[in-house]
Amino acid sequence: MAIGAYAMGSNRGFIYIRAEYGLAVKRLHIAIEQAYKYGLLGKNILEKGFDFDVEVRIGAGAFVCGEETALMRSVEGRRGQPQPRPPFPAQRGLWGKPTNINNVETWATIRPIILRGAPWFASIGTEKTKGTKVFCLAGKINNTGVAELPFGTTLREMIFGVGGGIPNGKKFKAVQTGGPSGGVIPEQHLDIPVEYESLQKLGSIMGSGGMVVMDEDSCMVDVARFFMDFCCDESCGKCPPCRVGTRQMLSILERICNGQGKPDDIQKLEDLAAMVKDSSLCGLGQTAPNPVLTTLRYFRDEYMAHIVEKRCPARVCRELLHFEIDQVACKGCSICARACPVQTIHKVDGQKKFYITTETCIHCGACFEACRFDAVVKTSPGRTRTETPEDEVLAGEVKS
Amino acid sequence: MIAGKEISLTIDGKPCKGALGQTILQVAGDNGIEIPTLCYLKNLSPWGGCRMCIVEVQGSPKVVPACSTPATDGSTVITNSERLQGLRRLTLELLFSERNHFCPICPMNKGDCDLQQQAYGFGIDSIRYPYLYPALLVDVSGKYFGLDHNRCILCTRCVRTCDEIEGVHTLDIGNRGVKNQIVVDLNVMFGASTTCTSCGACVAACPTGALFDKSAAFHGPLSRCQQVRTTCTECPVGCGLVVYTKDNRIVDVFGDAESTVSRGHLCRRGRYETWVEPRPRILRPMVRRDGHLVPTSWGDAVHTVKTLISASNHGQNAMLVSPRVTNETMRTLQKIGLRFDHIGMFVADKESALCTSPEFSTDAMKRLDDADGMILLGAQPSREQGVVAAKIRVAVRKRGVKLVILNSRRSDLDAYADISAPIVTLERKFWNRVGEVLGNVKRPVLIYGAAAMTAVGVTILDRLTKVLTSQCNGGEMLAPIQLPTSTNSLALAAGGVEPVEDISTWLGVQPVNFLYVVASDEPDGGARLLKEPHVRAFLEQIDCVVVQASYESALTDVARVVLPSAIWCEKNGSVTNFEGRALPLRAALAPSGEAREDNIVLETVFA
Amino acid sequence: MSDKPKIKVATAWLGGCSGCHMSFLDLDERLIDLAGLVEFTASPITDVKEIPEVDVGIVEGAVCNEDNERVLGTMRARCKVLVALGDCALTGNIPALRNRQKLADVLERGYVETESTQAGEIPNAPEVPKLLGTVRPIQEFVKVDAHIPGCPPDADAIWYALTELLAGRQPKWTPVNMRYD
Ligand SMILES: Cc1cc2nc3c(=O)[nH]c(=O)nc-3n(C[C@H](O)[C@H](O)[C@H](O)COP(=O)(O)O)c2cc1C
Ligand code: SF4
Ligand code: SF4
Ligand code: SF4
Ligand code: SF4
Ligand code: SF4
Ligand code: SF4
Ligand code: SF4
Ligand code: FES
Repeated sequence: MAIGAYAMGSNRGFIYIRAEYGLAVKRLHIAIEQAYKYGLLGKNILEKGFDFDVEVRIGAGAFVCGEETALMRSVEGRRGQPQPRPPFPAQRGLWGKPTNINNVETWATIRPIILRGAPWFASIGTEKTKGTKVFCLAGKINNTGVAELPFGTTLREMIFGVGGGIPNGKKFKAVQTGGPSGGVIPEQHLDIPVEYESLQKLGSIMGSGGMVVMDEDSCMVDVARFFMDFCCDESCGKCPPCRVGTRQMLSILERICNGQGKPDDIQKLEDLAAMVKDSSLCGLGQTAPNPVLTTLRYFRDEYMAHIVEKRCPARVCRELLHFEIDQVACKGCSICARACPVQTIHKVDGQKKFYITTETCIHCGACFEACRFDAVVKTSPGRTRTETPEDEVLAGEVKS
Repeated sequence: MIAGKEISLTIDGKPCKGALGQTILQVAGDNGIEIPTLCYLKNLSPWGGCRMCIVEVQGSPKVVPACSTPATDGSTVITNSERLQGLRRLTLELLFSERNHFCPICPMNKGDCDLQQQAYGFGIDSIRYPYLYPALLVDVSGKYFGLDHNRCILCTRCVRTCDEIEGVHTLDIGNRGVKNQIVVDLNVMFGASTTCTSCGACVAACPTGALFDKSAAFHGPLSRCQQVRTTCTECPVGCGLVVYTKDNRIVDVFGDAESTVSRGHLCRRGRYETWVEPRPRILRPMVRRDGHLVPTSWGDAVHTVKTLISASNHGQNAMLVSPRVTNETMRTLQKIGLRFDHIGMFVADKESALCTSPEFSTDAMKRLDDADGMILLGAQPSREQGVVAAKIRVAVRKRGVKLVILNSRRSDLDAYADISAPIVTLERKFWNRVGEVLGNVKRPVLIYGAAAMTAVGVTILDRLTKVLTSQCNGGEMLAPIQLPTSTNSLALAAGGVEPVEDISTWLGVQPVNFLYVVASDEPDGGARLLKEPHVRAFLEQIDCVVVQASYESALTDVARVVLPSAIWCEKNGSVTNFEGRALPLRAALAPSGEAREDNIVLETVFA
Repeated sequence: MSDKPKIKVATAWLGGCSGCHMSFLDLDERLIDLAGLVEFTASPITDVKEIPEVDVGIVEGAVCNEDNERVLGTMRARCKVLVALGDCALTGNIPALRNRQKLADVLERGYVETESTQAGEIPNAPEVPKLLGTVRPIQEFVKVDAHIPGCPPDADAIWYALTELLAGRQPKWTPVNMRYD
């Protein structure tokens, strides 16, 4: 930062970090203190007549405060809400002064570039995206953690090479890139080299470099619902497309997961997603629909299964599950009965077997997790008849 | 960037000219192209939140908000493509689905609501997404207006108005996302706010029925009211008013955006007090018979006054007028002055000294906008001249203006001051500090009120001038602004009416037998006269007191004859504000009952 | 009048004040014109309860209880074009004000706490339809083909919408012909 500041003629720097990252904050303070001690910060740095001070600002844990204009407002001590650009930070930033704002990772590349030269840096990566990127591998993957890789590495190399593949012999299903508002990329695109343009083409983003790997046990509708819940919760609320749009998309996704999806819900989701993407003020809203859009693009059949057949193929959406005890496999250990929060597992009369009363089961899955003999069977059989309210009503009327 | 340089761009295929620094919205507006908006409001900083004003700019894949995006030379802008209309329509639908917009039972219904108007424009007849039906607070704890969160669209027009115009920042947004809500202070009910001045500017700025004036609610749409532009006569600032009336009744009072004095802003007194506060009106002339005031005809009352005045001894009749009367009334007074031995106006506490050297402060409001340092001496604008107080707060908070307050009484403005001290502090150390604070100030103004006109006040003035000339780099001469308390006192004084503070001495020096009081629409009916020591006893002694006033009061209790005066919204003519501008009064209502304007009454009585 | 088979219309009154139906009657002499074109079947106006197969179904009011939901479902199933009449049907409007409260509190207030009630109790008979948790507009239950906003809509608005629909066009609302009140 000091080098950058020297180049730009700036005398004040801020590092913004969430209060939740206590360890990082502590280390940062130590590092800054040491830099001052070595004369790398403060007055007259390296006797060059250049002054530069760095302060740490602690954020109160809002995702949107990572957006640059919101971040600057937060640093100023105001409510962290994005501002329309222009004016860009470089024109009018902190306290109205021209401001340069970069990620720590970006700053970190300056040193090697100066030491080894730009051609060296440019030799790494792809034609369009140069250098390396720190990726954060998480989810259903053997080696979770942080890895710095050159741009252009394929997703397959990342997940099955560095990441060591999927645990428990499960099948890979999809990977979500770029943080909570990144898109979900399926198996068939695993061989693309990771760079900004290629990810964008697939409907996703580079974002934070996060990679959440999902295996066959993940329901894509549920995944979309989960990330929408996150974005809806983290929306700052400044603009209606994001504030209300994410909320409405979440309602629709929730109702699909609950088996109450309606035939036109996919259309409604697509309309809203496109609108939220187009109309929102900041990056949060503009990217929030990505998980929905990409799951709709690559896993539309799963949506249809939920809406039409009321079935969750990955057996995740609770309302669509059915639990049963396999009378052959059951050893009668009663552990499931004790795990059941609603006491709906009973002993079969005169036998060392247990059974579930389906009517009162709340699909919590506790018995499924508890059973050590795989005797509890989880299925999502679906319902043959579609049950929109009008049909329900009609059915009722025919009967009476 | 040189502001003002001409630029040309194409908007919807129409070649348009604008100036560098203007937004797309401004250029479009100047060229007759309308772009829908909700969160934009003239005179406020752009917010860019509602996304109604989005436009397409050629070469950019993203839509941009016209209200905050600068227009650039040579660009091509589209404001009404199908895509944009679709996005806007969906934004409106989302807003309707978010809260409870049941128009039939909304105080802003029928044309006063921007949201409703926009929806009509888009022909929205149903909302495709489920209503969220939140159960939010309806806060009617405030005295003059209510806040129904169920109708708020979070455009922050109120927040920005309170912050940027009234300068108190009572309002802000709390929580995140769909849980967003306007909060008052640190999340209290409006009625419990310690910072709100009840200026009502937020209500005027609200595009929906979320903030609504209680007295105006459900009295029909403003769009169907008669509008009269007149001037507030509660203080010498003279803010412009727009009075909305229907069936000879006030529906609401707003600031007049066209007013060069106030540009649409008002304080609590002009905005609400004059018409919301219940005050008992005098509706008919009354004459005292057998110890009781009985209503009578104008003819009888005028006859009675004439008889009484001719019976009174020459050299023993006096007239006291309120400093609120119009310039026209003053002229009438000048005409009839010969008939009275003494005419005085009962000014506010310590105000007579100001009036002995009446000085109009030309362009004072503009100078307040430009000043970078302010010294407030012996004036209480936060109590008396609210709009001036607002300007001072905004100057301090938004422009970092230095503020020094020297006063004997505490005031709400103290919290904004760099230094606030009792008027008597004369220590050297103190003046050094004043010098430090005003150190880099280039355009200081001194605002002084009635309480400055004392010996101490003069000493202080002297010291200030020294401090500014010696310690401030390039300090200019202190530009003084005289801020009186009473509405038209300076004009009346300049017209030769003698200011009177100590009533009983004034009455005592000249033995008075007949006293004619023109209290006009003094809110207390002129009763403050009686608060002066010995005055009541004095009035009870003398033969005859005639009171010409709008409101009943203790003063009418001692009157032989009472004549009904018209009130502010029933008056025509003009008043002169502290800047020396003659500002028009236009009657919005016909006088109540048999009340008549002051000058007409005087002319009839003394014809 | 032509011998063309008349267009069959049914109307239903869900959770609303009947003001919209009243406004319908405000069509006055135009009702006679309308009668030449359409045949009213089930409707609170004709007092025919059973909804037959019709061309146009018009629904006033929001969905407040199970019976509303049932009637709405029947109407949707038996009509070709479903018209939502009035704000209650469109937004929930006045009936939806109760959504602020919990259902139990609403019932308690209505049947037990009201000042004129003595020893009241919340009805639990099968013939009294159960209130839904929240009052909702009809398009949240069924597909609606045309909307007539207003509380109640002007007779003019109703006339306009119906004549457009009869002519096979979708009514177009503009600031001139639409109101929400
Ligand atoms: C909703 C949102 C959250 C963001 N969060 C972060 C963050 O946590 N850390 C970060 O470095 N950048 C974050 N960004 C990106 C920054 O706004 C900014 O673009 C970036 O830090 C610029 O640095 P770079 O050019 O060096 O990458 C976020 C952006 C958005 C829209
Ligand atoms: S897009 Fe979302 S997070 Fe960004 S400004 Fe709008 S509401 Fe806030
Ligand atoms: S799924 Fe949960 S509720 Fe159902 S039987 Fe198992 S433990 Fe009980
Ligand atoms: S605020 Fe406007 S849109 Fe909302 S209910 Fe009132 S009039 Fe209707
Ligand atoms: S009335 Fe005035 S001070 Fe009070 S909240 Fe509104 S704008 Fe602010
Ligand atoms: S109260 Fe009115 S002005 Fe304030 S944010 Fe809500 S809608 Fe906008
Ligand atoms: S500042 Fe004075 S003139 Fe202006 S509104 Fe207030 S009382 Fe009236
Ligand atoms: S929309 Fe208005 S008139 Fe029609 S039923 Fe509802 S409350 Fe009555
Ligand atoms: S008017 Fe421009 S975003 Fe609201």
